Amino acid sequence: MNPKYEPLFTPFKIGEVEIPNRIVQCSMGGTTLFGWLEPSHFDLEGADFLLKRAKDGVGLVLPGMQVIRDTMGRKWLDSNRQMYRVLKPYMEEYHKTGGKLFIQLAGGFGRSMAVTPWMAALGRNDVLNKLASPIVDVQYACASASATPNRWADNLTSRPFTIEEIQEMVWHFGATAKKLRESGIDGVEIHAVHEGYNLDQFAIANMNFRTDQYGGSLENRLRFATEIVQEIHKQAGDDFPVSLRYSVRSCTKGWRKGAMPYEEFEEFGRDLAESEKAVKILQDAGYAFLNCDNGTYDAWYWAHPPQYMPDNCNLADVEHIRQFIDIPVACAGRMDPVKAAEEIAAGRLDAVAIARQNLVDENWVTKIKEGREDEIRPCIRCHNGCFNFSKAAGTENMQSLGDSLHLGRCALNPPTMQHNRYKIVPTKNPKKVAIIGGGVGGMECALVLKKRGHNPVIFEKEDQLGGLFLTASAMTFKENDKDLLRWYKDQIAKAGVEVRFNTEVNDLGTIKRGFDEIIVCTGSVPRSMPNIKGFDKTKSFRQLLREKSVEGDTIVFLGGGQSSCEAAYDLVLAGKHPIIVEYGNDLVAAQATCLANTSFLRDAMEYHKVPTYLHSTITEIGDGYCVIKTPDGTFRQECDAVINGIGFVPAPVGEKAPHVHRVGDCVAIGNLRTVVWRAWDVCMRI
Amino acid sequence: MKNVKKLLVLACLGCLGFGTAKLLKTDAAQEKLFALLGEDTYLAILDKARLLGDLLMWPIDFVRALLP
Repeated sequence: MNPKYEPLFTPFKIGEVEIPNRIVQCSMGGTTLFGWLEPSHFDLEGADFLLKRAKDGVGLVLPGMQVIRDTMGRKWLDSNRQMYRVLKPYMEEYHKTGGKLFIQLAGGFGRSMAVTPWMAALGRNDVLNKLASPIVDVQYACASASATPNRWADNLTSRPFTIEEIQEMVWHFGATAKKLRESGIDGVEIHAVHEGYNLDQFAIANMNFRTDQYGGSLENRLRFATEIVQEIHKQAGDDFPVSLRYSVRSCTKGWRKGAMPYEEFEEFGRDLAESEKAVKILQDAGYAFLNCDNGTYDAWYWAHPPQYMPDNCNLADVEHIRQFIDIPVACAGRMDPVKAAEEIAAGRLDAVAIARQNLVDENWVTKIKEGREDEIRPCIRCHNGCFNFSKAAGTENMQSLGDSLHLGRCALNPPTMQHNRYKIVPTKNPKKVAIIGGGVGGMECALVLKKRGHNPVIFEKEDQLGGLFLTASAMTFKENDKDLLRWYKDQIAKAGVEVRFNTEVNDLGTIKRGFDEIIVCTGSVPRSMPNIKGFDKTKSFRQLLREKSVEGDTIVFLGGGQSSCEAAYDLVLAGKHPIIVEYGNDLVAAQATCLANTSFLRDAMEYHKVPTYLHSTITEIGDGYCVIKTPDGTFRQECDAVINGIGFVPAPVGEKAPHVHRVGDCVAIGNLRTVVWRAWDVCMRI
Repeated sequence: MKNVKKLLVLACLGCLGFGTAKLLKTDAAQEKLFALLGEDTYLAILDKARLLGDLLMWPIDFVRALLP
């Protein structure tokens, strides 16, 4: 092992429980032991995933958040006796790894509940909500400290919890913790004063207008969280360690408005000064560990940082509040393990909390221990597979039902949380397979086929692998994407896959005879709109980002999708002046892209004052200008270039035929998840 | 007697359905179906079948939770 990682592999204590090393796996929605949206039960898929994480060497595993009362079915978590019976032998097996496991318990989402259109309809209508309440009570699921607006749905307001409901919930926290302890669980973490969830809504003054003992002073606003830890100690024992998931700062400017990492602003939520007092109150109440980051659902990119956020984005704030308490503190949020090790060695931090990396590479801790860190597949923080709650102006949560049921999967690693669906089964009939195109889809196909025992050959028209991803990863802030490309190239080389560079295949007939199967992974080409006068003068993302052949300061983007916004942000960082023209009513209004990612881009465009014209289009492009048509009128805009950001169309080679398959954007335009998962779906069955 | 016969038929159909589902889940059967249906049809059916399976688990989990 490289010595710079050594501080990570030293033990520490939470209460009386010794954690074997400083690596904490943060809770991720969906990676639960007792089910996610389903009625609580012992979840075999989650159990398998979590056990593998312990075997890899994660010191403390926190399974996905478990709401104390099921959203669906409305049963209390302590009521399923069979679940706890199964849990006991599982924990005996788990403890053989030497790792520890705390269950994260939550008091619900409150106004942050990611309601879908049908849930919003129920929540807005008292009669419909009452009728549906034995199965799902949306008004209860969205209930909060006070009447506050829902993060996801317009015209949906949370109702305030009654004191009886709060105290009922507090009792069930204690009862659940007692059962968990009896089943061998090492501790619990309360998802409390964190990320704008329900209990955080009690803690934040601007979200809590109560006049009873749960509102007003800071002590009162933290009363719910302090009563929970006291009840747990009462029922489960004083020595049962209780961790607290805690957001140091809310980094929130107002309802649905986050603050940029470098922005000076007036805090709407919890600021650092209040946090200094809050952590002391929470420690004194009995919490034994603080698992920290920043943010709320309104500033989601702090708690779930996409690639646009800086590394270690929450570290300074976390280390600051650690000075005010004596209990150990972990920091989450794009944590670099090397930086974390340095901070732990220097005594400024006790543990590093890492989440999504655990989904993308099931052996990343082992690889560090064995000095093979260059083999770790990097997380690109896309949230496409693990956490794709999405929203645009005027929509509720647009996530598909299938994704709502299965959070915690991975765009880049399909077997994660679906190991029975995606697995490598050695073939009994090895075949020679031609793969046309060496982008991510082609490389993923080659790796899966090679692992199964087939003999793949990649035909790549350029002199390097990467395809369209070479352009997508070209932006300055896309270091993770570049790492992923490097990882793919290394894996292809290590697997001994034959790659024929500078070989363009336009006719499948030319290679058909030499191969048993052909997989076409030729990606897509930019969409064209010839009805726009001068459209042929537009430049492509490839020219802008990869070839860097687009010069000038004022660049207009025709289309406000993710590619345009990312490229515009890259230009902003370079001191240039992009302009976005979008036909729809919002930027990045795509179903599969997480709100943490899209809200950063929207907030960044607003903060950097990027002129953004919605419901608008370009009607003419000329030399040094374009004509923009908006609802308020049409005007001529001087510019140095117009970028074609209206999207892409599939560009497959050859016709569909037996033994000819298609993978990636040449089937339908998607994202890395659709590319990688389809690569597995096809290659598992060849 | 009629009821017994009905129950027997239902039990046989259940066993047949269970056996067919088990068979279809084997790797060999999946490879055959993939080749037979073509990847687009096969993957579309697979997607729907998975979602249906997930949704069927809800009432099962709910009932299981009620067991003593």
